[in-house]
Formats: sequence, C-alpha cells, structure tokens
Amino acid sequence: MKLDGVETFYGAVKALKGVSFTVPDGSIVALLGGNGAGKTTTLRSISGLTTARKGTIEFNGTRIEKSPPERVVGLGISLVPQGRLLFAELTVAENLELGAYLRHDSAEIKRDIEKAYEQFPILRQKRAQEAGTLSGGQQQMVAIARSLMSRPKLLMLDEPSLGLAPMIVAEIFETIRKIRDDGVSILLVEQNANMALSIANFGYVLESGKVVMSGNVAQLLSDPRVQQAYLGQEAGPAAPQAVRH
Amino acid sequence: MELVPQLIVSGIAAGSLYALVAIGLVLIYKATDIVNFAQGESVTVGAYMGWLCITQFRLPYFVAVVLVLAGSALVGMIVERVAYRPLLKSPPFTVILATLAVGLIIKNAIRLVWQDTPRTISGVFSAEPIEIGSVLITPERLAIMFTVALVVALLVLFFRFSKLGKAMRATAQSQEAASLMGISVPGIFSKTWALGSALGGLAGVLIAPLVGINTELGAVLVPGFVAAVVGGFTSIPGAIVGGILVGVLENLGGVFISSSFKQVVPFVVLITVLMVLPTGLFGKPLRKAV
Repeated sequence: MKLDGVETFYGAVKALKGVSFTVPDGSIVALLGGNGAGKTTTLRSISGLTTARKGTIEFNGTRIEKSPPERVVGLGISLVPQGRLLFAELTVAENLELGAYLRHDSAEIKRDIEKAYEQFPILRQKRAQEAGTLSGGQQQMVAIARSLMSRPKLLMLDEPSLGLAPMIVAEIFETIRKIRDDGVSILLVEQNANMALSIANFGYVLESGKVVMSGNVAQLLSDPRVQQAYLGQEAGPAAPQAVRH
Repeated sequence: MELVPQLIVSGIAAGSLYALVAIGLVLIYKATDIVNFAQGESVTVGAYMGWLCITQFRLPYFVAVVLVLAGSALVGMIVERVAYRPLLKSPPFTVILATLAVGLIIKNAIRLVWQDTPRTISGVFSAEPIEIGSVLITPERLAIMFTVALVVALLVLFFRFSKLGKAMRATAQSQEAASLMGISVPGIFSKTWALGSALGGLAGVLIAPLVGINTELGAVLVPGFVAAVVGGFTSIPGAIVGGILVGVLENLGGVFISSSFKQVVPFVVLITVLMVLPTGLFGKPLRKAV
C-alpha cells in the first residue's frame, strides 16, 4: 500500500499535510508520533472513514482515496479502530460473524471463527456473552479477531495497547507478530514506541501532519531524535539504556 | 359479561396496533436517532392501499396485505430519501420537522385524490362477537392480536438470526464500526425506514375494518408515539407493553371518566411517564451530556 501526498481536513483544520509512505507486503510498519500528529487520521483516511481531500492512496494497484469504508474492506484492508468500537450489545460470536459481513462462504466463515477461538481461547468461553461485558484485553482480542474475519491483506491497528495491562499488551503484540507471519501486512499506530519498534520492520514518524522521519527499525532505534522524543531516552550514542521517568 | 375484563381485552386489541406503530418508530429511532413523524401516514397509506386492492381491484386479502407491506415500505424509503438523507448534517429537530412535512404532503396528496369521503373494507374475519370466558370479542379483533403477535415473533427471529437483522442491530450501535465491517450504512438506513414504515402500513390495513378509512387515520401516530415513550423509545418489548397499556387505559378512561376523555388518555399517559419515569419502562438511564 502506498500513500502519496495525502491531505485530510476536519472542517477547516488541516490534519494531514501531505503524508506519503508505503507499507511493503508482509511487513509490520509502525506509525509513531505524539498526540495530534495525525496517526489516527492517517488510518481513517486509508479506511475511508474520513475522505482525503488531496493526494492518492493506492492498494494493490487500486486507487482507494475516494472509496467508502465498505469498499475498502472489500479490497482487503481492515481497521481495528481506536477504542475498539465493538458492537457492545451483540455477543462475541455475533461480532465475529459481522466481521465476515462481505463474505458468502459460510463454511469457511465457521472455520475462521473456530480459528479465532483457537487463537484466543478465552473468547470461546465468552462467545455467547455481550461483547461490552468483557475486560479491556478481551475486547481488544475480539476487535482483532473481528477484523481478521474479513481475511484482510492489510490489517491496521490504532493504539491496540491503549489502557491495557503490560502482560496483555505483550500478548497482543505477540498476536500481531503471528498475524504478520501468516502473510498479512500490518500498519501499526502506537504511542508505545518501544513496543511498536520491537515487532516492526519499518517505522515512520509523524509530526503535526507530516512524515518527519522514516527508516528501518535499527535506524530509528539508533536515531538520537527518536530516542529523545519517543523512546524516553537521553540523546547521544553514550546514552544510558535505562528509561527516564 | 363483566365490564372491566371486557374493556381490557378490547383495549389489548387496539393497543396491539399502537404497538405496531410504536415498533416502527422505535426501529427508525434506534437506527437513525430520528422520530419519524410521517409514520402516521404509513398507516394511512396502508389503509388506502388495502382499500384499493380489496375493494377496487378485488384482490384476495392476503395478496392485498403483501402489497400493502411493499407499498408502505416504499413510503418509508421515500421519506428517508427526501427528509433524512439530504439533512444528515442538520440538527435532529430539522430532520424531524422534515418528516412531519413529508407526512403532511402524503396526507394531503391522498386527500386530493379521494377527498374526505370515508371508505371501508371488510376484514376476512367476522365482526360477530364470540364469547371467551366472561368476555365477548370479535374474531376480527382476535385476528389482529394474533397477527401482531406473529409479526413481533418474526421480527425477533429476524433481528436475532438473519444477517440483515444483525447488520441493522450493529449499525444502530455504531455506524462507524458497521461501515468498517463492510456494511453499507446508507443501505441499512433505507431498509430500516422501509421496515418501520411497513409495520405502520400493516397497522393501517388491520385497523381499517374497525374504524374506517379516512385521511386522518394517521392520527394513530399519537397513541403509537406515547406507546414508544412509555417503553423507553429504544425497546421493542417496551413498545409492545406501552401500546397495550395505552390501549387499555384509553378504554377504561373512555368508560369510567367520559367518552370524550378517550382521546386525552394518551397525553395524560405521556405527561405522567415523562414526569415520573422519563426514560420509560424499558429505557436505559440517560447519559449526561458532557
């Protein structure tokens, strides 16, 4: 997937000021940046929830910058939105079924639901429960499993670690790595840059609506600016590894 | 024959029709946060279409009912297209007024064609009362209650098991998440308005043999609206209980207070509920706006 000069507005406010980057097939790309840098807006522009005013978004040779979300999903891009946006009053199983809304292969859908339960065994126990009654970590699992039900080629996750306990976060990130290993490209938005770069192949840093840095993970990790701004470390090659508070 | 049980039973029959109107309102409200004030005109259109099909075209009753459902569903889709979709970015009050306006246009279009001459259709079931226990009831009214119960059961199954029903529930909870699943939200809106309006049309063809057909039939919106409020406005079971409550209280008030009080009853119920239990019997507690 390739973004080129994407500009997105909320009313008169320009949230993205010409964002360009690519997500290579089969890789995990981390999108880093502070609050209000435009990370969520980037994902919303790709998924069609907010339409880009300028620039192009290309996915597998198809231009999607003007496509509504239901078409973008159909092309193989699925978003796990910030705050999860589960159907709280529907059961876990119904949430998963709706993830496969555009598919018509009911036998395969059943198999995929089974697969989701194998991946997240707790969801099998809770499958008849309303999704809103689950814990935060379990809800994040439902959100990821629901997105996978559309069999995406690109999975986008917006702050999957937000508000979760460290142990759960580690589990979620392990899951993301596994999904990549199954051949799904990942675009990951995270405040937790350490965590994101620990599994990513590439990273882009957004600042007030623009990509200000890019590179593979080793480059980003050794860049003093990234260390200082996002990894909570002192600048300089001799910087202590301990996290400053 | 005892009076009170008798009044209650016939109140339930009328109330089940109010419930049907109310369910239509609730479905549309849950999906789009709009109270469809053209719902009364779906009732009127349903009744007139029933009259056309049965009396003019001499179609069998059940064929007529199917056509009524289709016709009033179309009315709902038109209201959605004309009053809702172009005003998506307007405040809800504007949209609600627009539905009211479309309703008035429909009502007066019907009046233009058929004037104010009342019409009637005869139902398939006898209007001769039969005695069940200590109460008298006409097979006609029994059939209405049975039909409404059947429709409600079908609706429950539809929302629980069908793909479209689940998509409608999902959309009512989060439009954004629904679109991320690949659900076309405008399509769901259109179908929800069609369904809600079809329920109104069904109420119209069912009520026609009892009260006759005229352009003011849409006034049944008032008890239907009150029924929905009593039930909390987001609950189908609530709308059913609300409808029956309003129907029964109307009957009791009409006899024990005065016959002209009957029309006042829904308003009394409305004010009482809003004062005592503003979220209705089945409503969720109001979230405070931040």
